[in-house]
Amino acid sequence: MASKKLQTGIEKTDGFDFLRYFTVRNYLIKYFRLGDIIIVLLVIAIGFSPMYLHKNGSIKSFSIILDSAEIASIPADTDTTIIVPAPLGAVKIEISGGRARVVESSCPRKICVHSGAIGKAGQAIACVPNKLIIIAVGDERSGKYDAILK
Amino acid sequence: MQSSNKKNGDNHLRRISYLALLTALALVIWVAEEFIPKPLPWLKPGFSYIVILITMDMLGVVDAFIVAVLRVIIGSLLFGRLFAPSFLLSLSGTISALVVMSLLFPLREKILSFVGISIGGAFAHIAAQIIVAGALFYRADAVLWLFPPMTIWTIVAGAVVGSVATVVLKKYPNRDY
Repeated sequence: MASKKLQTGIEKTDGFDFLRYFTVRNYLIKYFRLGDIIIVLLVIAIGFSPMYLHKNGSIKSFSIILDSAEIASIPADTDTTIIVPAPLGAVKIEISGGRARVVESSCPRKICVHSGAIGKAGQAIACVPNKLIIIAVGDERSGKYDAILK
Repeated sequence: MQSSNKKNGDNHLRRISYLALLTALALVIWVAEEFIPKPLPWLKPGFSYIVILITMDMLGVVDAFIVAVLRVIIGSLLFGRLFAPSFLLSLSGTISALVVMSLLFPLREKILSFVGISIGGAFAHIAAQIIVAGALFYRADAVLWLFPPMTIWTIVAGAVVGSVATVVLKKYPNRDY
């Protein structure tokens, strides 16, 4: 019955006929063109691209600073273990899978060991007795801010 | 488009009175939308774009631009926030939406319908607002996360607005105003 009405009654509508034979199929046939689908796909592509751009803004390298002087800058994608000669003794730093952590330290309270691994731009591990800081350095866009308060 | 309006004074008069009516209609919808309860202040359906699409079809692209900008200026005046940050957001969104819609408008009925024009305009509106908000409040990378959810919202709202405009223009195919 609905299809009959669509075929015959479409010429003489009383203004609210569109409510009577409203189905999803009729809606798509009447209102959609091919260009609309292209527009929708384009909008989705542009709208979701910032997510991928944002993911690329991750860390570049780990900067190791001993007594206010940068002694090493290690690219984030290398897997190494380095031993830093700190004032109180050796500090063992492990970098693997884009994350850095202090494995062993000669300091008394081991706060640097317990602070775990860092992997995001701007994060840092500090070992105050040894005057040692490890900073995850990002690209310029992420490095614009020292910190963001929420 | 503009030169044909000035052929005789009668047509010119009609254009002005239609502009006044359509501006009033767009303004009322824009103001009323502000009072709809919504979870986030800028998550508006944008129903005033129905009137702007109808203006575009009836009077042309330039007149749609006039209606859209007047709607934002007078509406902000009513709310007492002319030249406030939210006014700048609305104005930038409106101007970029109108630019995209007038670029898409000549393609209608060949490969596009009003649904596509309206979705393109809605996305341009939201994109400009997000970019301006990021520039105004210096939170560029925080604001980028608004893009994916707002994209889905623009597609839904744009489809509704475009469908309603199509239905209205089918009921009143008044092209030779």
